[in-house]
Amino acid sequence: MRISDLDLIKSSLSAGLPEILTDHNKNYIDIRVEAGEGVGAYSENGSSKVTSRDWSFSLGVRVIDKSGIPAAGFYGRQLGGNDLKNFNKIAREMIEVAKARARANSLAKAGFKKKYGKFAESVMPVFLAPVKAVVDTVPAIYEKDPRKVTSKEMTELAKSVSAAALSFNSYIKRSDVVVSTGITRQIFFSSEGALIDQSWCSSGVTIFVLSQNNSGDKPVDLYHHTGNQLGLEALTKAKNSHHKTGEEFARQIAGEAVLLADAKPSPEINKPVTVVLDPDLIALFAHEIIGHPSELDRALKMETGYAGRSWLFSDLKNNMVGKQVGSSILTAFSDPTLTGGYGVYKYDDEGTPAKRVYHIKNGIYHDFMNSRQTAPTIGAQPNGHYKANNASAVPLIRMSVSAIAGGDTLPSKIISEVENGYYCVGHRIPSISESRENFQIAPRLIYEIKNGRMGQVFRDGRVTSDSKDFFMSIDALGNDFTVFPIPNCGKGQPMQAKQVGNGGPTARGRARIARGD
Amino acid sequence: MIELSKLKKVTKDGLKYVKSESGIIEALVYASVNHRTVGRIVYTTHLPCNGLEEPKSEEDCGIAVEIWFKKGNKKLVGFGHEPNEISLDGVKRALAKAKRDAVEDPDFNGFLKPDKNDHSIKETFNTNKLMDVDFQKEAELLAKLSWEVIEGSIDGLEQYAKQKNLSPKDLGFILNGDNFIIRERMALASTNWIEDSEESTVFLSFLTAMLEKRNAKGSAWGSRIAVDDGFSAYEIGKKAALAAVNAVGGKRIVGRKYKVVFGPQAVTELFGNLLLPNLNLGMMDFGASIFTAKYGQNVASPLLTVYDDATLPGGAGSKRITCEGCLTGKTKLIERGKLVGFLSDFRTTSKMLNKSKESAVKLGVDPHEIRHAINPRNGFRFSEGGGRVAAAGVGIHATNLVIESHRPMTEGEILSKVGDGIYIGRLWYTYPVGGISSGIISGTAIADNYVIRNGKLAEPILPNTLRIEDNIGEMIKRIIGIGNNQVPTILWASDEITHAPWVAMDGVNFVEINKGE
Repeated sequence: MRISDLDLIKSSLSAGLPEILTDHNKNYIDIRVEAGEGVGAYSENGSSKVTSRDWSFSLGVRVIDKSGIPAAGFYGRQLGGNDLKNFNKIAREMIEVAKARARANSLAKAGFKKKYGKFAESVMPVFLAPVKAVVDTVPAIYEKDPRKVTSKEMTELAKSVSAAALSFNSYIKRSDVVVSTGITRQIFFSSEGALIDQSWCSSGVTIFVLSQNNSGDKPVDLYHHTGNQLGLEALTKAKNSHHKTGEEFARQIAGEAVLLADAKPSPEINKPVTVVLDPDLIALFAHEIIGHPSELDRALKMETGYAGRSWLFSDLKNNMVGKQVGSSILTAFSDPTLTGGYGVYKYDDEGTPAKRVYHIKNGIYHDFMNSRQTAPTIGAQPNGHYKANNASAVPLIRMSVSAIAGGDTLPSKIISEVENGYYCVGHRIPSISESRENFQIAPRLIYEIKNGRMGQVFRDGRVTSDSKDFFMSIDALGNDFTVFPIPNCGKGQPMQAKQVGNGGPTARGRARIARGD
Repeated sequence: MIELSKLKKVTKDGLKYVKSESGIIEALVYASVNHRTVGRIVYTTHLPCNGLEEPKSEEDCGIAVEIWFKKGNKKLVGFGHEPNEISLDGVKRALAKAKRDAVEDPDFNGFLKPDKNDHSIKETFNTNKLMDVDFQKEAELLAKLSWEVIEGSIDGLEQYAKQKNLSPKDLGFILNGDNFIIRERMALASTNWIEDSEESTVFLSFLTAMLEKRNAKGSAWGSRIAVDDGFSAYEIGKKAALAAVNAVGGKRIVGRKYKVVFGPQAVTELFGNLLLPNLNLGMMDFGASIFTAKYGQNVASPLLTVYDDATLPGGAGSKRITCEGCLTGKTKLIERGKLVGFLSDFRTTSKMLNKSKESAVKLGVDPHEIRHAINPRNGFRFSEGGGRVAAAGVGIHATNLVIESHRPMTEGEILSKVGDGIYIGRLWYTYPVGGISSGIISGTAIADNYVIRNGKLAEPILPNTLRIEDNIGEMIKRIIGIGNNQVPTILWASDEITHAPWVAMDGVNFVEINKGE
């Protein structure tokens, strides 16, 4: 199976579109077909563990049935190479299953409406806001085509990156590395006439290290990821946000782990103190406490049980739209066209053209990421943020590239103006509150700042605050805006771990520091 | 779904074919089919909604071939996978990939070699009542169950609404969650005398209910091995709504150290999400476990016993064999506070045994002396949010995680023991924010929380106003009571079912958050 095999499906579906998608009930139907080719390798302490070169092929069908009250049904499957030649038959069968689900849902919805009176007033027909049915082809961008990367090449790359971290210093006791490069192609068809053929690459490296000093103090476990929506040049030619090759990136993380192995635990600072956050860390803030609560499905309570709600939206009357949520220098957005990390695309998974959505402009909250189904609820236009991990999964409203806009101050000046505070570098696992109204995010390194100069480094501390208090306190933004890749943003049931991008500049605000022991 | 007999035949025939290849030292052929069906429930009374968002499913099937073979003077290990193809041709293609991508892993010395007598046990722990439901019936079942959940929740609310003279819109009611059916079949055959198969089903239901305008939240959940196994969708919906009603009138409390009773969901978060990774032999090997070098030592309160038991009759996580072909069993992890075992797979156990000097430092004892404690009973290919997936490599996963005490207490006795303190029913996004090895954790208390006064549950605590900031390694030493009321409990994206009782701890640190609300 190759992604070029989708040419057959594309032409077959184009020709057979009326036959496959026409439904006597005039139900809405869309089909996503996705294929990928890639190779990944895992190394432990410079030795090979596993390498795998493989392909994937998946199909997903959504039907909106009008038998009762319009309602949706979905069916997704992983396919095999032999399914290529039977594709139209399989697509037809899957449409029938999705139709059966949508029809059962639609009829049950109508029954519920009839039975539950006032308690059923909020239950509405599924309606998709109109978007122009586009016919377009979007090629992948790469220098080193993932399809031409051999298993041996990836095995050696993983080994050399792992060895680079392990050999950095005798404090490094363990270095595990995962490298991957791949290309994906997706074709989106709808009964409205859309036919979109998009491809993209993704190449990345994740490094896990364990360090311990010679006194046998508590070890330090760190991990980090870099990559880009490019070919393998993302790792071999340092074409990533960290501007480092895989080996150089491994040495950076190993260096941090070595530094922390001798560091003291972070002190507890119970009252808000000045914190300067580097772009790598602020990018996670943009993701966790601006991007996530700006997903309209959260705002509309569709994720209350799992991913959570949004502190920016209580209901249609009570929400933060048009209100101040941050200092006047804070502007934040999600933009699927912004390159440098992951999460870049031209159309989302229901064919809506991607565009920049401003969440916050000069401290005032503006708009949410949405889908065709959710946009009309708040009177918005679809803005192209409905995405799935692969065609077999139902799309959800997902971040593309969510970022805090850059400022014009030199980062060195932002630090030098601080009399007493902390400079926080990079990030580890965060813990965010349910509506994203409060956070505790761990930097990898916390340096003391005294009289504008950097002092000692601390380990295991966390920056913590209520989100609005932190946004309101931002008083400086650097001119070093950078986009970073995040490899595993989780949402949905079953969980979909998705690659997205996040960005920001050096930023200064006030937050509490949680104790590092 | 593809019949189990077909999986068995292809693994048997496939192994015969693989064995005929020259240079093969050992080999394993694995085939699986998984079907995940979800009814996503989004019902709100103050915002437009769909009730049942969509009935949906994802499916996968495939073959994996793992080989250990001689090539020149090297011994190589390879993994190959062929999706959506259960045939000898699929085995041949997977074999070709395994040979092409094979690497020299210095730690690998073969696949599981069980005692031949082990495979006389044929008892199965599951029913297959859900296994062969056709698509039409499945669509109707999922729609019926999901709308029944909503109906139950409304009936649960009705009395409160009448009492307070509130319209549905004024209630601001949210019901979110899902009904989730996982059906899985697998078969494997290896050169080491293993030829086995298994099929299982599990039905999970997880709901969050909220009276948003009163900031009151509650949850309800259930896990069963069949829908008719005492399961009532209506009752779960009602229970969730009543839990939200009971939480009305929540008050803030100050942040400080408390005596705490953790309810089943919170216990699952603490023990499943946070403690369990430290009891994984892979984490011991990496060196980041909080239990590094502590085998045989007292690491927790003597009241605490923790084990994994895949043979629990009726347990939703029960499995008869692992995905490596090992018979499952009960693996004791912590017994009366003492560290007595780890979850493991065959590769990790063999590696630890082969590197016994290095492993002795990591474990605190020569692994050869504790073979019983590192039995490879937990090698599974859990992936994609549910199912035993051929495309996934074997990892170490729990099945039925059981928390208990040799001196179990009734709920009344636990509350009396605490006297004055708090009950925390549900924690959210609780992660090892200071890195695994530090033991530092943080998360927020989001639902089902109450003040305990004079040994009785008193007024509810406002959700999302307390953040736990503590250390999991220290918290388990401060356990003062464990209930006799184990409840099978699931967490978002977790593999295992945690059989969680109430657990009381002393001196748990909470910080007050979200004060600007």
